[in-house]
Amino acid sequence: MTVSNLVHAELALIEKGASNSSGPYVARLDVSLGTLEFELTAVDSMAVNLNYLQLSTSHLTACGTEELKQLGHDLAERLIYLLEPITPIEIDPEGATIQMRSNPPRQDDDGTRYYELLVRRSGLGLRRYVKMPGAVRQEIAGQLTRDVVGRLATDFVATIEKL
Amino acid sequence: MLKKIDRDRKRFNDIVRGKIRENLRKYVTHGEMIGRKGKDLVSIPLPQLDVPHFKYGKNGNGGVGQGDGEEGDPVGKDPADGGTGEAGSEPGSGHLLEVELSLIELADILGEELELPNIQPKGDANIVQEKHRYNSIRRVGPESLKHFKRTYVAALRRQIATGTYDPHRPRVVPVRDDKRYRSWSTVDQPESKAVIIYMMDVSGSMTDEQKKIVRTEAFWIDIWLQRQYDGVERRYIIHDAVAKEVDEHTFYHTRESGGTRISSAYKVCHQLIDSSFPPSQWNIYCFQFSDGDNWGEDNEASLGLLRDKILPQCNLYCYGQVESPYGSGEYIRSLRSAFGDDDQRVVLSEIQDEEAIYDSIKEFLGKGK
Repeated sequence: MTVSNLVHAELALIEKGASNSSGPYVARLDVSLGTLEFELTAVDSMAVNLNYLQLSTSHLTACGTEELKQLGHDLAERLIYLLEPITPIEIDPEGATIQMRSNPPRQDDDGTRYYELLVRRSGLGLRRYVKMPGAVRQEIAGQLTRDVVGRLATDFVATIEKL
Repeated sequence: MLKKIDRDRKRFNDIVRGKIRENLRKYVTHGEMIGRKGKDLVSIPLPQLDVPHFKYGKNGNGGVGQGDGEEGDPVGKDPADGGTGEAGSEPGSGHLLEVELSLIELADILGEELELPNIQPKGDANIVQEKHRYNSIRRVGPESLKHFKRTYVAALRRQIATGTYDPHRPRVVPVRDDKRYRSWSTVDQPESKAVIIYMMDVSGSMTDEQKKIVRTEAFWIDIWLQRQYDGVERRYIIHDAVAKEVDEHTFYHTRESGGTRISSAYKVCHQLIDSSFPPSQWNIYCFQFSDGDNWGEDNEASLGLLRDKILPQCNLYCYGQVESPYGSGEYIRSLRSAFGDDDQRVVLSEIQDEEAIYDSIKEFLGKGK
């Protein structure tokens, strides 16, 4: 079963059980590289409210900063279907972390919204934030179609495999 | 007694100062003076001054009595020429008057407008500096210090006294005994020394726009502190995840892509103070600028270094948080919760955009520390 199909099957299950319980719904799927985990606050037949999507893997533990940086660039090239393009913003050699963010972020009357994808030796994690002037940034759910969630999961796995 | 031209010049200078004061917020905000700063003077573009001037009518076609009119026609402008339109509301694009102002005068205007208190140096003029003043004349000395006027006066006096001076052939030839040389005396002068240490986050999230804000603010801080101390030293530290001391040009023009670790800048700052600026002899001012997007786990280390190593050594620690495209970061909150409003050595300022620079300078320098 492909990663995308696994995700779709899990989403279908969550949707089915959603009538009996209120979110958030956490899913953990075993994929070839490790564990794919995502949390949803809402789900329907078309789309989901995604709190985070995370791929935990041991395949990156030996990677240096340069390889993680390359991984960041590869991800930036693949993830072109999100609300905003994301690119590496900061590279932290000490913590071996690449911080990728929406570039440019979306700015309107509701504040500044952006995705943040952290590339670490322990894996990848995507979240969405909103920052209102004078307030602490808040994590918010990103609204994505089911297809996009499947595609994201596939691209996470494929990019690491290609490295 | 004051000459008329001096009085007029003073009046003109007062008008210029008034105009600069009126527009100071604009000058501070837009940073247009930075490129115009010379060694001691700043060239300032002023809007046209409203000084009385002659207005010429429409009589450019010849001399007196050469026009189209007949005898008895009223002299003056045809009322029909006035038109019905209204005056424009946009400022004209005429020539701007450039005036040169000394840095001292500019600092004074800044201080008056922002109501900045004069700085109270640490200790009481705790350093005694030996200064040489060329304030006497000797008969011996190096040729490079020869006082020509005095030498020739001495030679002339000798020639007149000995009767060898001929007014019809006024040749004055100094001999060895006529020579006079400038000489100095050494005076002890109490002096306060100051150093400004600028620290800037140049990590990937700091864009050129943020750096421009930092540059503008630093320019005005420099102007003010130079007014307060003779020969202020300036040092520059940039950091992303790693910090280093750099020159002024690099400070303003570097962009790195590393992560933000503010503690790295504090380490370099502390080393710099330890190696070059003993706090007993120096008034130390630290100005730090960042978008505040410090990597989470670094906050604790940064606050510890600031509390234990930097603050005990400096007069004032100012932190300016500029807003990056991702909004202002959380570091300023950490500082607020760590130091609150009680610590008089710490000044925090959020600089959302260029317009906020003016108030930020006031926050930073308004304590008179």
